[in-house]
Amino acid sequence: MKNRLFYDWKLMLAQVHLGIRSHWKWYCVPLLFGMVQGYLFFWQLALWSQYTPEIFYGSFGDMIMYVFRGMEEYVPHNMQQFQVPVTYLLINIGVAVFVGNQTARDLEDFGKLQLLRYHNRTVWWLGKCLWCVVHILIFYGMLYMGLLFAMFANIRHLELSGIRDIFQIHTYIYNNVFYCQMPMTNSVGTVLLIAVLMPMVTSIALSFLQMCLEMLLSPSVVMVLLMGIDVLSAFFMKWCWLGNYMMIFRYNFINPNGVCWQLGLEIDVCVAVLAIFIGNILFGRYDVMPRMKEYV
Amino acid sequence: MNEIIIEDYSKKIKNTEVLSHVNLRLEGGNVYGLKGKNGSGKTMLMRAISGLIKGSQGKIIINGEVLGKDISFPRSIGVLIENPSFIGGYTGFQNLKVLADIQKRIDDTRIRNVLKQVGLDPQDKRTFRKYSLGMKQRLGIAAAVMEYPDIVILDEPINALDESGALRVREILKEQKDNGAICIIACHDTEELEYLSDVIIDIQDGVIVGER
Ligand SMILES: Nc1ncnc2c1ncn2[C@@H]1O[C@H](COP(=O)(O)OP(=O)(O)OP(=O)(O)O)[C@@H](O)[C@H]1O
Ligand SMILES: [Mg+2]
Repeated sequence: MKNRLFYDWKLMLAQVHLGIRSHWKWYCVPLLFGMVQGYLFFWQLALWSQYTPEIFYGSFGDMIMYVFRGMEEYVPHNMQQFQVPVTYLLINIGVAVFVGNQTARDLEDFGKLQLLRYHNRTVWWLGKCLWCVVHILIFYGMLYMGLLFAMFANIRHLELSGIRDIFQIHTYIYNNVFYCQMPMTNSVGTVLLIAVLMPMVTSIALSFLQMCLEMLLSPSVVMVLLMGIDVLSAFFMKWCWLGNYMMIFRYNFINPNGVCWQLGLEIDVCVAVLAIFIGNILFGRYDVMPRMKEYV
Repeated sequence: MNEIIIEDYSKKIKNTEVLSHVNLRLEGGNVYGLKGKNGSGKTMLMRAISGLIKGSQGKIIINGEVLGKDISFPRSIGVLIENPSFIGGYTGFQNLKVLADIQKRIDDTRIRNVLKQVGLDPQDKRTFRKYSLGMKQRLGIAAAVMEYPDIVILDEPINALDESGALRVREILKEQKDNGAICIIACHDTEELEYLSDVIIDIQDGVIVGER
């Protein structure tokens, strides 16, 4: 029994390893994306420092806030046009494209040969879920590497009196540059922790949901559904739309009516666990064969 | 002896029966050739025996164990179904190694030998992405037979192969069946199919219409 578990565990690790290794070149995409976002941040900063000399210094903390800012609550009657925050959407699409190609489509390829050599479907499914977690951690890791690169390339905008400076948040940037009131009732440490942790956890939950739905619908349809969730999350500032937890401006320490991160974490975990569970049942009766064209 | 018993097996996809009340008994040491028109259900039957699809009715018993109940997949099976697809960035050897590592039944020497057997160079540094159609097909056959499985399923194995490749398939099938494997093949070249098979199974619109 114990041997069996050990064997299964090793199979899953092998699957993670293979999934990462066979696609490693694609991880330059989040890296480049992080760099571009970092440069954009400093570019905006430099632009504004011409008009408002007080705004000159930025930090790594600011960059994180910048990338994951999302958008403020959308209020329809303000005559403002609804625009989906581009950065937020691109991150979501980036993650989803990777994940979407890995389960259902993999089963039409190499995954089929692997699966037949596993003794059961559950091991294969759990291996995919584990891969998904590792993959998302690497994805975000690369994004942060890109940001770090951009930061060191713009070192004149850093206050380099101590390591703490790198992780501070200059609220005046947000109040002036992005017209977002940032009262911030929480400590900077907590805010940054949320800004780093919550997008990852939410991405994992959404990806599990994606893999689970792919057992029922074609990958492209699931992709569209997922983007629907992303867009609706930008439209409605409500606890049930998961995308809100990937946008810092939607949290209640910035917007008093915003979402609460503890609840977000609980919901993410619930969605993730349910998706693994239901996905496993669905995969148990999934017919491994090419999808009919009419589905796609 | 290896034995597959298919009892009243049917498979419905969206209200069309692609396999209908199939009853078959397959024994080790034989090559079974599936014969039928395009869309008659040959590949579907192969998927069913592999455990890749779930039947809507009936059952498949492999060496006394019911597929989908006692076991999810046959304990020992090698398949080539549809176009063979492997990891594009890996060489032929690396691809087979990844698969062999799952069950750890064979060592590197066997992998090299099976590559030679299908006419591929084990030392070849080209990645799968750069393989020609026939080379891909050969690698697919190698993956299916390398572990001396109890059940060998080859769907149109000689499709993209040249003459020497087709001859190698003959040898390989002979070796596998002498090992006691149940071999199931489909092939549109009637002459070759007759030559390779011990038993021909005629299939029409998902129904087995003859066995000889
Ligand atoms: N992925 C699929 N989804 C739904 N139906 C399918 C799928 N693949 C095949 N079918 C249907 O199942 C039936 C049997 O198809 P199958 O692929 O088994 O035929 P075949 O005998 O292998 O044909 P061929 O000689 O062209 O390989 C056909 O009617 C086909 O339309
Ligand atoms: Mg076929």
